[in-house]
Amino acid sequence: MPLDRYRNTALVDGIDVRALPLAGDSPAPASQGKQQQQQQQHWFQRRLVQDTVGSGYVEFGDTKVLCSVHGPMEPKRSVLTDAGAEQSRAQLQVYYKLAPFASHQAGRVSYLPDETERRAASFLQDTLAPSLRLDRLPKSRIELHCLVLEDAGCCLATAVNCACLALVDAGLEMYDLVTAATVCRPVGATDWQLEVGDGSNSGGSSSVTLAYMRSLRQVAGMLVEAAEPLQPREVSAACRICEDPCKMTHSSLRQFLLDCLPADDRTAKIA
Amino acid sequence: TRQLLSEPERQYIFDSVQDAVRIDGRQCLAYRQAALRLDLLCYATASAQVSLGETDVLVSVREEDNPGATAQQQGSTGSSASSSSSGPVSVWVDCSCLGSGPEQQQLADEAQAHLSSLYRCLRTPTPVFVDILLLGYDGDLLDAASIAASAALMRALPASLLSAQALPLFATVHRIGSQQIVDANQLEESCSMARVTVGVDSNGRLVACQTCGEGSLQFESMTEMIETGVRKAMMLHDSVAKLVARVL
Amino acid sequence: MTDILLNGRRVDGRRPNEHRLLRAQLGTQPQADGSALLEHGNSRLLATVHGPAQARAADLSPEEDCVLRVLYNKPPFASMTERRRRGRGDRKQDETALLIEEALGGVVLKQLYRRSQIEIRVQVLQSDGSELSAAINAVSLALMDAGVAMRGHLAAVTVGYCDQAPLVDLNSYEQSAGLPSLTVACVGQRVLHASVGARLHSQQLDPLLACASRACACVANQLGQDVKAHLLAACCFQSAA
Repeated sequence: MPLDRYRNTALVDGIDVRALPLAGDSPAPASQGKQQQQQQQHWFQRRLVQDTVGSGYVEFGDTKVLCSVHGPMEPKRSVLTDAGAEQSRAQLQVYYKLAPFASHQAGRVSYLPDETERRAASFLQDTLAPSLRLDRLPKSRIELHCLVLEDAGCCLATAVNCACLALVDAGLEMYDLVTAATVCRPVGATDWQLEVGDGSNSGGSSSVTLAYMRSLRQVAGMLVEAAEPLQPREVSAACRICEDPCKMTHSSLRQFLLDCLPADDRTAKIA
Repeated sequence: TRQLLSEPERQYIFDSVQDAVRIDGRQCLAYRQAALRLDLLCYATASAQVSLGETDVLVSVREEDNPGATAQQQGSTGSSASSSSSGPVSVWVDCSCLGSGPEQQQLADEAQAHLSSLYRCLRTPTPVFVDILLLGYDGDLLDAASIAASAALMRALPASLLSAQALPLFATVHRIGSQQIVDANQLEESCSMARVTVGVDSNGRLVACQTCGEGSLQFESMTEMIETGVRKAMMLHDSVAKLVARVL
Repeated sequence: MTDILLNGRRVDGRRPNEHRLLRAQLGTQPQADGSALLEHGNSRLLATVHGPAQARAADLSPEEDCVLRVLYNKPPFASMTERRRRGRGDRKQDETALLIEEALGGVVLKQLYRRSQIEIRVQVLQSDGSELSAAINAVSLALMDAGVAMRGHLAAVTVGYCDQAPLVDLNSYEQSAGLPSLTVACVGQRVLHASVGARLHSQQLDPLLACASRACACVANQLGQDVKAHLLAACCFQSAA
């Protein structure tokens, strides 16, 4: 098989299997934080991929996304960087890939990135860039690899949450946490429903994804995928609906990160 | 294709936009002089060339009524199978007139992703290929390409279909400081931190909408920009329909 | 062969020695240093010239004065037959680019542009046979528009051989019939490039070459008028201003 730089090579050796909840396990230990009774809760884990500066793993319903951050490293040489422009900020490069076995309906996913994956990658890049202090890392490049292990809907929003976790884990300076949520609506319906990764949305419906920075009260990104023409005010309404879940995810992600801190650090932070 | 711009130049453009003056003397919500030429290519079902300032786009629309040929085409390329299943309109963008570097490739890929999402809601009886060739670039590629594609599709598709389904257009609204601008040229594009690309059909409904750029937006300003985009797209729809009707 | 040449007329009604209509517009792309849009029957080609500009050190070999880079692109919708498979770049296009580059190497005064690069991009908008010769003609005009010094007007033509008669300027139908064909690029009387498509008998070569060089002179003359008209228009504009 040819070498693929988009693939997370560190995954096979580096993953800590004990940290993952296995399907046949007795109820997961409470310390792992997986809340069985609430399916729409996110379940976070960090430091799963050992050979990277930071990594994150998020489960949302059945959707599972793994992100890893590499860098800061030497920037790619291009004509522009040779000319000295664009060196005052770090370059953020996002790769987004569905695992070949990710989707139940679509069958095996092709090995090369297709149009939707490229589009998701550029959306992630545009969404995460506002939260990062790229100006603090001049003349460098940060790579973020995002691998969707299981796709049961709400992939993009989960990927944003996971990428944010990985970036925090990597210790990169950020203005705020970016969290995202997706609402969808089947063709002909009138109400937007929050997408929870339970595989209920099997294509053919319009969806609105919103990425939000809660503390800054700013929208980091928004993507409408319409299956039918929508009224502009319906789209704004959908964004409003997304806002609350984004805030909830923000607080749960923040809580998870605080829980990860050593005890003395935490008291220092609160004080 | 990103323009090299020094920090003082960037500041100059930024400040003048704050005072509602743009570097080429336009108003914030004004488009550049656009020219539309129809039916330049005799092999295509319809074709259109739009030049918006120095952005120059040629669009060829081909209806393939030979289903065998297209099936074989889709079979031979693995990645196009997924894009063709999303709708019978498939879009192909080529920027090799601008050079063969990775930046041009990225520009083409991004434009192709955006434009394919624009035609996702459109249903046609036969597969339609929209091939977009970029002959010159000075910002606002998506708007120019969608205007040309829309004009060509108006000529290519049967009238019964056009009355049943509305053709979409893109309008891109940039935010520079506290001002919104449309039809940004390349210099302004490299100053803008956030933009909203709105795909609007001729009934004023959204078929695609996305924020791009390395900046964030207030909720209210995003809604405002969507509204501006819809308004501008309706204006573009009007002028394209008028121009095409004049030719017919 | 009867459908190629019937009663002394070809499929599109031309006589054997008749060239298709040629029309050129210079300076169509303001962003390029030089550009030309060539209409050659149903074919349409756009050639743009960028440079002379500083060459990248990697491209520059010590014995070479100037780097000519030719990019040739034929989009999937350009030919009359069904739409080609999607994809960017293939061997045929690279080969055409290489042939153009070779033909230009003999006509551009490279020694005047030391350590610099001239990039030439050919965009086929619509193609109806004789692609290489049309591309060479378009590039030659674009170089003139860019003001690149050349030995003369490079003109090219594709000729074929059918029923003991040379056919000038093959269209795509005649080319697809597999006629012995010859593409010739000339400056004045000197032949700079000749490439044979399909099998050609050695006895046919001389008459074809003679016919081609005559046709090249006509093409150069025809296109030269367009260039003069363009220059005249530019001069008038300047004197009026």
